[in-house]
Amino acid sequence: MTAPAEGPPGVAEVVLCGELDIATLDDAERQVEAAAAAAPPLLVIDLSGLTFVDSSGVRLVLLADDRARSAGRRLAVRLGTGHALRVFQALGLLDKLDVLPARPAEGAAHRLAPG
Amino acid sequence: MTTDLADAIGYLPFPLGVTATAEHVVVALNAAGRDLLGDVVGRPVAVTLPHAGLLAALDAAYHDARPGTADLPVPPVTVGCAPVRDGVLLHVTAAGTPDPDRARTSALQRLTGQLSGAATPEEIGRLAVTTAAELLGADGAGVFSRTGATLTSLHSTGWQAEVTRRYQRFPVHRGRPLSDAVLDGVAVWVENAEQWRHRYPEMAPVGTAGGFQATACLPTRVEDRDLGALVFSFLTPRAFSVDEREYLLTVTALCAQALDRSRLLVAEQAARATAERQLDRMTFLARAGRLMQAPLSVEQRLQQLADLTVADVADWCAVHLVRDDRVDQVAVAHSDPEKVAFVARLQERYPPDPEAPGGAIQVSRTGEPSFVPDIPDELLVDAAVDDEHLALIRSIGLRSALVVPLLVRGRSLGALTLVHAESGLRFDEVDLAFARQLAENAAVALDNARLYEQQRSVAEILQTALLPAVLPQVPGLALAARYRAQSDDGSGVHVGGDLYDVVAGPVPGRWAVVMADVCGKGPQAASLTALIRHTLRAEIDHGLGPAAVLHRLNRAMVQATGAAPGRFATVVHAQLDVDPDGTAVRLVGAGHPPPLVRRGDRVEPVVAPGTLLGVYADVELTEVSFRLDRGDMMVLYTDGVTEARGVDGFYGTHRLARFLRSSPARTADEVADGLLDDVVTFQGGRLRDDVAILVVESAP
Repeated sequence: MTAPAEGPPGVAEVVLCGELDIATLDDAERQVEAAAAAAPPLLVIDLSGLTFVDSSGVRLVLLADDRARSAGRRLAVRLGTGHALRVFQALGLLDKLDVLPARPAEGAAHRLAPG
Repeated sequence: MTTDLADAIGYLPFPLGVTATAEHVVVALNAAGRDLLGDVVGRPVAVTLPHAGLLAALDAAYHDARPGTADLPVPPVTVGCAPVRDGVLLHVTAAGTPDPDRARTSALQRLTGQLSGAATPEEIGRLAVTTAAELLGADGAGVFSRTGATLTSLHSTGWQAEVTRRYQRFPVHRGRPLSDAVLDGVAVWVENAEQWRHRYPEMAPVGTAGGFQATACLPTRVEDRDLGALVFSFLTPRAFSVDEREYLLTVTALCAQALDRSRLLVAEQAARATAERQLDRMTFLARAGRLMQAPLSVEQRLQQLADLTVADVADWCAVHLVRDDRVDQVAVAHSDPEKVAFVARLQERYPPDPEAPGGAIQVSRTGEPSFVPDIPDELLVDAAVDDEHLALIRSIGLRSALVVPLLVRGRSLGALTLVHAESGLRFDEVDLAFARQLAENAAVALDNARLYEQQRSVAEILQTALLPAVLPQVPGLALAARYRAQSDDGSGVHVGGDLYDVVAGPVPGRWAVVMADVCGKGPQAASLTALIRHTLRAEIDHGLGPAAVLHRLNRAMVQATGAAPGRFATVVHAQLDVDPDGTAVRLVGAGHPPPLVRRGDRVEPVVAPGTLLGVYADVELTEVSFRLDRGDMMVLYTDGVTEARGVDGFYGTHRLARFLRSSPARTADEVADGLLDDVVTFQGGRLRDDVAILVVESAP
């Protein structure tokens, strides 16, 4: 299920919540790929609702970022103020990724399921 | 039962009928009976033959199980009423029939009633022999059942003991009276001893033993089913008149009917028992299968299999495994542990002969099963080393044994031995097939486990190639490192991406320590781990500072991972200069969890922010400098420690700090051991990720 939030044209947003690790990676990858399929100029991955993210989840974001850059598009993440922020900060990624502030209103979020 | 009886009377030449229910509805009447009574089938006797005496006799037989007779004026007949199960057997005689025939008819009626109540072939055999012999005035009799080309005695009476014993079980043999009767389906009549000697000279001594003269051998056949034969012997010569022959054949037909019925019943019961046994066995195989998947060592699993087997299938069970050029017994089970201990002592004193044919060792080697349904004493005598040994193995009471190979892909991994002893049970072909299936399932499970172990050991070897075998001895420092791979999650074994190293620097007293974690697992992660280790060693040797070393490493990684983008590593690297008062530390982190430093009872993190390595061409790294005084300790670790998850959530740096503050562990080794234990225990023994720990203590 893709969960495009309300937003300006040309922006696709995936909202992931729950735990992002090896168990839920496949599900998260499907969400991100589905959102990226239409080649939006800006793809936003909202991680602020994650309660856990491990290195495989970080790698998912880095790969999506790499693909977007190679294609001349933009990828941004929302990290909120919780776990995801702490992880990406510890990895020294806040200056490397396009980090957007948390969305003002809560939209449809995709709770990750183990696959 | 009246249905069987209804079938049976159809074959008989005497007028017979059967009624059912309290209304005495005639449910069967044979041809001879119809001649006398007319077509009365399907209606109550009260309607077709309204005679008070007959109805009273029927009531007495039906309700009170009392036999009786009634004379009817029209038609002029006498009707005998005999109680049988669920009904009444009618025998009809025309008025004016001579007395001997009347007596015979009533005797026949008695036999029919008795046979209809008998269930097993043995019971029917006994009735056929005793009652029939009495009716016929025979002095000896026997009933034989036929299975293929073999005749087996069900019951006999009146013959000499030697004859009875010799003809318990014997092959059909053309040219002998009983066999001829069976083979041809035609009665053989021998009227006197002279005829015996003339017609069957070979068998005459047997046929006339004990002074017997006449013999009738009567085949028991029902439709095309050949059941065997009845034999009646007489001490006086008999001419076997037509009447007498007919009477004997009638008795035989009655017995044949009863035997056929019981044979079908027995066959049906056996089929049901087999089906139930089959179901039990399938259930057992399923349980054994689950057990072989359990996360236990091979020996533990096989012992559990043996334990399960002795609870259900055999008195004893043992499992042997081929190991290189040896065959080891790895499991043995009996419901009584005393007996297991007894056999263990016995085997210690008298080791099993590896050359013993059919023994577990031979079966393990050859892959050929061995099956001894009945263990004869001679086998024990042959196997025994001395008299005491013989007495000891006899005391086990072995009765039946089978040994089947643990075969997989044509290779024998060992053997499964099942033995019946004190239960007195005997294995049959079905058990053998079952044991082979069980052994084959176990062998496949073992083979999988073996492949898995091989894969695991390859992974471990690879992993250790990525880690230092031993840490160097560093003057002024105490070092301890621990590594534990993640628990198997069923997805196979992978080489982890954790790395630590301790390297001598280019100047005396200078050392470098590294802790790194490559994301992911498998060959790509392993090759990146190897790249990190070798690059670091080379760059450290060039005399670069810690931050410069990691910049160089990052460039090497970005070049190497171009084909696999997103493959990154977090690294913490420190340069240690040991002096007489302690150690000066320059430390740089690249996205790695912060090391902790313990000074006395204070524990604090070393914060050195930095970008992970391997993804971006330029990374931001900050170097921090501090001192470790004598007795101070620095702990480097991977996120397998802090992201360990227990019932209370993540282990986290706060638990790690608390452990370092409050643990009684003092030395570097004690701290490393204690921390690893604490993390493993926290996760309930199952590691979600690899755990690496490196403890650096400035000389105390």
